[in-house]
Amino acid sequence: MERAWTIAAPGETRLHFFSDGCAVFNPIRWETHVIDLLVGTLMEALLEGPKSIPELVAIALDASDLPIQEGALFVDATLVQLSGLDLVA
Amino acid sequence: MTRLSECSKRELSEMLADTGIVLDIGAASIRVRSDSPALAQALGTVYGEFPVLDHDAFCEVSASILRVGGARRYFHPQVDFEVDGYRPFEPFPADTHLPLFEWGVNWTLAERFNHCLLLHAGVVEKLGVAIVLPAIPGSGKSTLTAALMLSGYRLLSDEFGVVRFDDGALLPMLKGAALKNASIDVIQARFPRARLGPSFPKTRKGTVAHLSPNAASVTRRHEPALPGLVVFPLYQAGVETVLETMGRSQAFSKLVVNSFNYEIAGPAGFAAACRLIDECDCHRLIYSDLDSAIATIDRLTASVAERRG
Repeated sequence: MERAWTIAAPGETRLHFFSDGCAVFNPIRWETHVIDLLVGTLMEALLEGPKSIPELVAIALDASDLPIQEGALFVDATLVQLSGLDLVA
Repeated sequence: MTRLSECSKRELSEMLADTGIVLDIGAASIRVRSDSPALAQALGTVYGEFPVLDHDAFCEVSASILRVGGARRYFHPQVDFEVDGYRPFEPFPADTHLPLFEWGVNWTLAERFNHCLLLHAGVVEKLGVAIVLPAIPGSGKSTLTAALMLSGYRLLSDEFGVVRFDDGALLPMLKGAALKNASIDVIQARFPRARLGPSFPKTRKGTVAHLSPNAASVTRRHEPALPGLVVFPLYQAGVETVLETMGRSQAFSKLVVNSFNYEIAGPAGFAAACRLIDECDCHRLIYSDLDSAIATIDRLTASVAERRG
């Protein structure tokens, strides 16, 4: 069964979209991160509920001009980075 | 209501030494006591437009500037800053009483004022548009803030951008604007009628003099202002004025770095900072010529005011 990714602390995480990027309040580290809009779109999707990697790739492709292969690599790399920051699990 | 500038030196000295002088600076009130007559005179100048208030008014900060006793007072007189019985600093030379009072009160407010987002920023307002000028020390923030007040803007603060959590309004925290070194001459030359307190040479920040908030700013010190502009000023000698529009996420990053309590405030601080950036046009202003910088901010302010109708 495909693993589902989720926001590590969904009730306390805050995400805010600006026109040129997003700000995230990370309640586990009590830190703020500024991320790009596509990463913000993935975070927003995860805030709505758990998502599998294929679902996240579909969201990334829908929100960007990335080809399928690069979209999958982008999602993989993003999840590694966000989990390293304790934002997703 | 009697203003501090209407009191005699003797009245001010007696009040300061006895029950203390209460300064209602808008978002907070400060009680100051001291046995230094020179401080009384300096407060009478810098806070001259402020009303004389009942000594038993509630104050968020009760501070004292006290002469240090012992034999040392004869050959190297010093003063201590005390707040609620606590002395957070080493004593200062006795002839730097007002800078010690100002820095001590600023430090205390920065430590305690956690029911609002507290930015390290000058704030002025005109045409209903509040302009937030966040900057690290040495950026020319106080000089530009002072010049704007002297050019018809209402001063809310030269040090604290006080953002109310529940509605994002900016609250005045009106104190003497601390001008340092060359800025003192620049302001005096450009605005000969500016009312400055005494100059204090050889402080840790060089020579310091405090600009008195004008009557219009003092009268409106309980009136919040709606943010419309965030301008990050940077003084660079000899440059032409440069105005650059900033992306909001970059402005957000720079704004929260210039905060005293963003990390303490957590999600409330995050929401307040996001809201402030959303509601403002964000710019970087590099300047050396005050008139040009003021004209640039005049144009930006008029543009926001016109858009708001």
